[in-house]
Amino acid sequence: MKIIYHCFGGTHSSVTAAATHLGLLPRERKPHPRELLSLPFFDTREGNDHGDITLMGVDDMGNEVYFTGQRGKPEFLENIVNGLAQNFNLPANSYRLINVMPKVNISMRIGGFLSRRFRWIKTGRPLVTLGTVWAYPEIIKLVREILAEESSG
Amino acid sequence: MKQVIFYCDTGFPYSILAAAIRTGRLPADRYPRKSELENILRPYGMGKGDARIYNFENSSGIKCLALWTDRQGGMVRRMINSFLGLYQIKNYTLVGLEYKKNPLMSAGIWLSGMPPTRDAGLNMVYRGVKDVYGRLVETACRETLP
Repeated sequence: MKIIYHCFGGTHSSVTAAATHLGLLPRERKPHPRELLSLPFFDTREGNDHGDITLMGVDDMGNEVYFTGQRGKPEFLENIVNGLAQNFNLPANSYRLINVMPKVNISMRIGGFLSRRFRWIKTGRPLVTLGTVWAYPEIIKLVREILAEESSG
Repeated sequence: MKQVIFYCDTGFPYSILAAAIRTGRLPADRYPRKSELENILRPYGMGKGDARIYNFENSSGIKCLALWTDRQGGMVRRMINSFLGLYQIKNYTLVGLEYKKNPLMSAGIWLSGMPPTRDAGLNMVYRGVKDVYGRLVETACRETLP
């Protein structure tokens, strides 16, 4: 199974969700900002990476965990992925798209925008990192649901 | 057989027209009649596009796919290439169509949405398509099957 987490820029909430899924972040407590900042791809992806489905790792059940950005157009990603799967005869149960955008808070939006769009990293990065810490309980709830569904087959 | 995917990010379904030309649903040797064009566009609409993928196939077995959006071209291309890359699928050609939607067409699409001005709107769209039809035929037929 290919599990694809997606969000606006593919660099904050989807990366955090993918990292949590893979056990790169704690599942029992909120992460320290340092832990988030040391994640590969966290607050580093650029506009010309959007749409690129990137592998984060493989989980204990053998699922490949990916993340990507969809610029607030989740329907584009869903239509493309489902359409391609249908036309290239790929089994619909061989992949799964998970939108992490509903878990994103205002601090992540503003911080992410400042850091990635305006390159105001000194202001934006701490804001988006703190926002991610605040949103973490919601993100982990989503990841737990996915993990539970996957482990139950 | 290599799958051809027509894609356009200018907010008009030129990719649908290219796929229709390639599969013989629109003529390649002359301009289409207005009714022919309308028959092709009607089921898909003339909206800005939501990246939905449409399959075209004819009785000779020629197949192709078409999708369109309004901007976001680079991102959509990366989505297609990277998703197919996950499955090591390489037997496809992504054909980008760069034809613009001119103001006449934009106005035509808007007018065609209202019953009293529908015909006038469709005429304007037809004029706009006619301007690029020759190049569209060239592109649609250029991608030769291996």
